[in-house]
Amino acid sequence: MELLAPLALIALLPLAGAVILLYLLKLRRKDFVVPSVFLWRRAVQDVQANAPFQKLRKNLLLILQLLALAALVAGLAAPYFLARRVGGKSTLIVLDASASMKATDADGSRFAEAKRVAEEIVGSMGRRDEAALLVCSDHARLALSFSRDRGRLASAIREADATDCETNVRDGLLLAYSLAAKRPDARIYLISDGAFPALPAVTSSVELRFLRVGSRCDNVALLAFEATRPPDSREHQVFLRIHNYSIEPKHAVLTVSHEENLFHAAELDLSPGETRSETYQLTLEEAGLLKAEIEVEDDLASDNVCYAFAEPPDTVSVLLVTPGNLFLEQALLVLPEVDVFRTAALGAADAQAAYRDHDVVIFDRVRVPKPPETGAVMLIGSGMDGTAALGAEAATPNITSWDDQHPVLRYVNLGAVQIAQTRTLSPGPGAVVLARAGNTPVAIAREWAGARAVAFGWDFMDSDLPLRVSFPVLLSNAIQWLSQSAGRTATMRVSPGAILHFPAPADAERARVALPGGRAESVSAIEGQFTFAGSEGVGAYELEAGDRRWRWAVDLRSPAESNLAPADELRIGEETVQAGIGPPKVEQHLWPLLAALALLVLMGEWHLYHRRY
Amino acid sequence: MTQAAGPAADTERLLSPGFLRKLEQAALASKHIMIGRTKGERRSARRGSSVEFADFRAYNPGDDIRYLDWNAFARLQRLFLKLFIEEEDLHIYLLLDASRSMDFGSPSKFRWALQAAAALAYIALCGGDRVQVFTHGGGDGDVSRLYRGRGGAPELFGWLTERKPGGQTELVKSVRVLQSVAPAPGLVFVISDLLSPEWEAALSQLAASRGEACILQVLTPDEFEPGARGDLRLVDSETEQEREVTMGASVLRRYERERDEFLSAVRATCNRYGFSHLLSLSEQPVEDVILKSLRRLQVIR
Repeated sequence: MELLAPLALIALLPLAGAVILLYLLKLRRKDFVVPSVFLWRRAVQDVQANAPFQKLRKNLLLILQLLALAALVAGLAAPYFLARRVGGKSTLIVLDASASMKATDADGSRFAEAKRVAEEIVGSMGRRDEAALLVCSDHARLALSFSRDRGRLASAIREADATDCETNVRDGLLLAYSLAAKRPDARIYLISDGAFPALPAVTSSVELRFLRVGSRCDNVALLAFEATRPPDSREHQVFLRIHNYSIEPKHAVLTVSHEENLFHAAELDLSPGETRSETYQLTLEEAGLLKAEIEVEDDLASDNVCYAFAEPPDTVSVLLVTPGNLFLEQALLVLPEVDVFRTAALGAADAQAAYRDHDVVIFDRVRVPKPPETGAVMLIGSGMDGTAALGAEAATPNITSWDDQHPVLRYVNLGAVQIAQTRTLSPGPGAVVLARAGNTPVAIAREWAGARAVAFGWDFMDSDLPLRVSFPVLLSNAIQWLSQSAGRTATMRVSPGAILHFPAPADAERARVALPGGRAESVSAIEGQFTFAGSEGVGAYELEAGDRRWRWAVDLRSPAESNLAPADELRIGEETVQAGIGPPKVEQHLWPLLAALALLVLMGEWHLYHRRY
Repeated sequence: MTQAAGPAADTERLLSPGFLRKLEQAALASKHIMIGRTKGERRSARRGSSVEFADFRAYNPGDDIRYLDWNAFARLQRLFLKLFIEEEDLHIYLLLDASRSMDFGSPSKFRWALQAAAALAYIALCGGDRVQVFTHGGGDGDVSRLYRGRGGAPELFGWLTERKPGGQTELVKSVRVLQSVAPAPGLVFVISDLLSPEWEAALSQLAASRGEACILQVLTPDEFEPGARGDLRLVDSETEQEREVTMGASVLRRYERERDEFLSAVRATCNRYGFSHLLSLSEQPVEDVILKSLRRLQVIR
């Protein structure tokens, strides 16, 4: 308990003196002449027999007056104590549900601790306070909008779960700020370990409090794991990188396995802050899932495993239908394990056979005689109805955005590509826009039952793309993606939380998704594709629909999440918010209580006085 | 019958003419038969010369032979003397409390006591009895001369109006004075508030003489139910004794209990000695008290 104005207490002395003086003055009795005190004698004798009690009763009034005065003066001194109470009337609780929150350095886990803190905040809410709950993993989710129902808030907090995703606190805070903007007395509590990059500046008057969970950094993480096969080689090169984030040396057991078959195990001693890179040669007869795992005593298990898919040697047959394109031909010929066939034109009758005989058919400025039922096509400056119909012409377009997460555009930079003119494309059902010039799509990828297509709206010869480093990469990506269209199991490695789309085979309405840990989920086809958004946990997944299978693996590979060092402050633009630990404390003023007490005592004194007279 | 006329006659007049006329109809009733001094209208303990036969007794030489019963002598051959009841006057003593404590109330208790004394004296004078008034308080107290006959009334009233309250209540002393001065036992009226610790001793002293007594106790309404409130220092008007008291409900309750105990003690003591007792408030009209309440007590016929 502390006092805001301790000097006010000094007033107690003169005021109490005044009260006592007034009391003494008041007790001066009035003389009253009566005929005889004969009858009064014994009446008063009784009173005098009870003199101590009488004195006490007399003094009781004085004591009550002094008590009321003391309460008033104490109220003037403005005492307060720090109570665990919610400060604002509207509270936004932002829970960090990223992978680092699964660290077990707190009691249970950091996320369990965060939930406990959130529950305490809800528990200390006033009756008319309201709160909302935001859960941030790789995206922000409003778990419960503003509510005064503590039961609903508590159950929303209980139902929240940590994921293996990277943190996207920025979106969460932006959402929180926009929600809080309409509330006059709002406050945002961010409960997190602070393991995320600095946030952009926010112009808002809403108060943000950062409640930190987590206490130490004791973690060893697998940060990279790749299995690549040099062209024309039968051996895979496996590369992996391990980092020790702890301040102590760590002992770990590394195992690398291929489809449950262990082929490498090693004991590693990692000094604090050490990064260890390892490479292995590996001969694989067939494709499959590679898994690297470290066994180590640390706080975070999600980053102790990594996945990679190994592709076996195979030759892709490509048919190039073109009036003549030297750049394209040369680029294709350079690609390893690709057999290129060239023709100037393709008739409608031959098209079906061509789709069947070649893995990929490239139409360069040539009309597509017939869309494929199965197979893969790449369209350059030409359209195909139902997939990418050619639209209006546009001169000197600038490519403003492209999807570098798509396998076709991985490691490809389209930003600097100069294009003389292009045709806009209208995407067909299930198509993904790969690149846009302004708002108009200029590159499209589409996958449908048994077939894949990649379409570019412009003629490569009308642009400087073939002269750029990205060109062979783009072609390689495109050929690889297109060649997986049929008859093979598509494999990929994704980050946690990625939303995946799969083309539904014609006869498949439902697909079964096998999750890590032996569980399974069922997914329904919507508009010809399966959408799966449940890849939040680390592990291997498999979707099976009809005779088609997709395999993917989720691992963390995030230095930001693996570095468990709790942040002492939160940087928002130029400002920093100091971390608080545990639920917030606010000043709880006591003067209304004291004023009420003074009033109560005065009323008691008044009542007592009137009962006596 | 009336007092001296004049501008102040009405204010100073003790009793109204109408009340006096009513008083002429009344008579004092004495329960005991007492010995008087002169021939009066009351039966005396002495055998005397009235027409009412009382008893026989044997003749002794020297007896008045006029009272011999000759018929009895004729039958019995013995001399008997006829005795007749003697009718004598009665002594009425009025013991008036003139202490300072009587000077309270509106009208004051003393004024009430004077009126009651005047009324009782007037009844007695009209009945041919002797009346003597004793006051106490203010030194040794005063004693009036002995009045007899209706003609003495104006003088007695004048004497009464000259009395002023003052001094302390000295009931025992004034009873002793009465007993020593009184020529014969009679009916004693004590008019007082009895607010003195010696009231019991005084009544017991009064009972020692063979006289009959009627106690007219008068209190002011404020004495009956005090109206004062607050922290007070009560000062006794006579003794100037002080009592500090905080007038609250509890103190008042105690006072009322004390008052009731006091009044019932007075009543019990009066009963024990065979005295009549009448409590009146000073605001009650004297006329009602004399003609109704005393008549109910059979003090007045």
